[in-house]
Amino acid sequence: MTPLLQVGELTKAFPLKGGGQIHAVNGVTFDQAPGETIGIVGESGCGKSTLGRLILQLIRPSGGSVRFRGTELTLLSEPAMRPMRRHMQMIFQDPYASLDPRMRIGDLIAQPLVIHGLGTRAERNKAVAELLETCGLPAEAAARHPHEFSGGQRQRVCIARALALSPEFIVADEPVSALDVSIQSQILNLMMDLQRRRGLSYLFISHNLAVVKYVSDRLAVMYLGRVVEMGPAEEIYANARHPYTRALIAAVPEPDPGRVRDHAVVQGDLPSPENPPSGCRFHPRCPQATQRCRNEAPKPVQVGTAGRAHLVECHLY
Amino acid sequence: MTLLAVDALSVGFGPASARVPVVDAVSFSLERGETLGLVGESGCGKTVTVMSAVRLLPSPPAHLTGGSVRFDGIELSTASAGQLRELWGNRIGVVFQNPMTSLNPTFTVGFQLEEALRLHRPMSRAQTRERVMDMLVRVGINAPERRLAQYPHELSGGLRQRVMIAMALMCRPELLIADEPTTALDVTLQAQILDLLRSLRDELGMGILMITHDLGVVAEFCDRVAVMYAGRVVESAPVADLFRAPWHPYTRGLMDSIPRLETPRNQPLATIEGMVPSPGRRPAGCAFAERCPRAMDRCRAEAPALTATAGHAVACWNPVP
Repeated sequence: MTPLLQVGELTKAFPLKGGGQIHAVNGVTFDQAPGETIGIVGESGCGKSTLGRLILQLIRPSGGSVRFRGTELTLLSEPAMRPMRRHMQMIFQDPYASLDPRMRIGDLIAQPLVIHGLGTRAERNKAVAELLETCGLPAEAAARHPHEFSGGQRQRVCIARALALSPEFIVADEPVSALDVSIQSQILNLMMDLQRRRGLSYLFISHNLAVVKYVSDRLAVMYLGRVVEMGPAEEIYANARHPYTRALIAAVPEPDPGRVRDHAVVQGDLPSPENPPSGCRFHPRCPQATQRCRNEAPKPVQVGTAGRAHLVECHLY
Repeated sequence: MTLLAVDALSVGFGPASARVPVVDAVSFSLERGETLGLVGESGCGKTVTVMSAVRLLPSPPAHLTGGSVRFDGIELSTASAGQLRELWGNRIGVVFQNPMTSLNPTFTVGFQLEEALRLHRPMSRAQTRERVMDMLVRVGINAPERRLAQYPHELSGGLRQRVMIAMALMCRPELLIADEPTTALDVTLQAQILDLLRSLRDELGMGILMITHDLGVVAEFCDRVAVMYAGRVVESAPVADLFRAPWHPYTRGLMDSIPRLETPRNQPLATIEGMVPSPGRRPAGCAFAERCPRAMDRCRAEAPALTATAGHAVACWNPVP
């Protein structure tokens, strides 16, 4: 199958005041198939949100390529990029901040159609009504304002808006992190259901490993701008190779009082990406670090079986 | 003597003429060396319960409308400002949720850490400094001398939360209140902070009252748990009992709706339809009845009381068998 999305050596360096730069994303490579969900997991500051924005060209990369259905997006001008945006949309973390409080829900959802000059007013109204129903909101919602809705309902509005142009690919950046658990499961079920019905591909970004693992076909674990491990979600969970991935899994508090942690808790804070450690970037916190890890950056190694690619960047393999 | 005994505490907001009840007859108790988790979703009243119990909520707008709170035998609901100042930061320490807004950005970390000691344990400056450095090392902060001269904005999120914890512990409190102490942190840091709190609890023998929305944190960290919904405790039990057999349909619903690491993909998550009723719009009977799959006519008419069987209490007319 031709990939929907091909990301190659994608890099973003932000300049720092007083010279120097931060490599927020540093050489990320992966392909995504149509209908597939890739989960990006990592701690704050690892570059996962920047990666999502780079793919959508909301931030322009400093190097590398993003091909969507064979078109190289990094070479497109803003006007040339606009028609591509019909196919790729985004859902943000904070449904309070991402809806204009002065607009009615119906106008918010219809806005992408207006921007792309699609349909007559009547057609757009009909589309809004269908989208509201699809996302589990009452038709009367169209005439109301965002403040009249709860967090979970607002996130449904954001999802309806992202679906308005019938995109094939959606970047969801922490879409349930601001919601209470009982609401979180409603939104996750809706997103999974929409995927089945519409054949959507998601790039699902979250710091919550249990959530990411639940929604994703494949998982990419990021650390200081690099994908340090990537593979099928079940495989990563059952057979994590990178010491960082293992530490991350071990640190998730599970609602099971009998559980005993099978790995030590990783110590220390995430180092500043301004001045990343030499060699493997995880070595100062890694319980298994050797001299080689301090000196030499590991290359991606294939540890999976044929047809089930599992890549890890670690000298242990 | 029980360290903290909260009995039928009720809290309302606003003037007497238009008072909105937020916390409704909440009771729980905490012993020394024990950790009690107070769980619930946003707006269930968990923070209001605890902060008004120790009188940290300004009145007005918050008013204690009933019940009693006894800390080591001292009645807090009627305590004078002077009595409370004697307790706060001394015998009762508080770790707030957001270290960035709870630390004063205009003072150095050292100054803020020393404040509780200056107030409650007058001693020489050198001794004060020594106590502060000692506590910073204990909460896992390297190079404490350097940190003392820094301002909060110069520290990472993990360090700030450690400073908050050190500050709350400066006078070796008997009761530590921790309001979502790890919610703003990444999981690896969260695990470090929980380990730290656990060892300090064992060392100092303090009782910890932990407010959280995360059942995973409760399972790992607490001895007992009280689940709150719409201003009431709906279930309370030792942690192992609650997770093995939750009795309240709300507790059960919460547990089923969390994706766990082993939850297979494509298995739809359980949901609790609808949402939490806001204070002032709570129904007459059980507040959960309209969302409850097990609701009966009686639930809509009459609010169930919290009744205990061997340490496991539930407020429900039709509990999960």
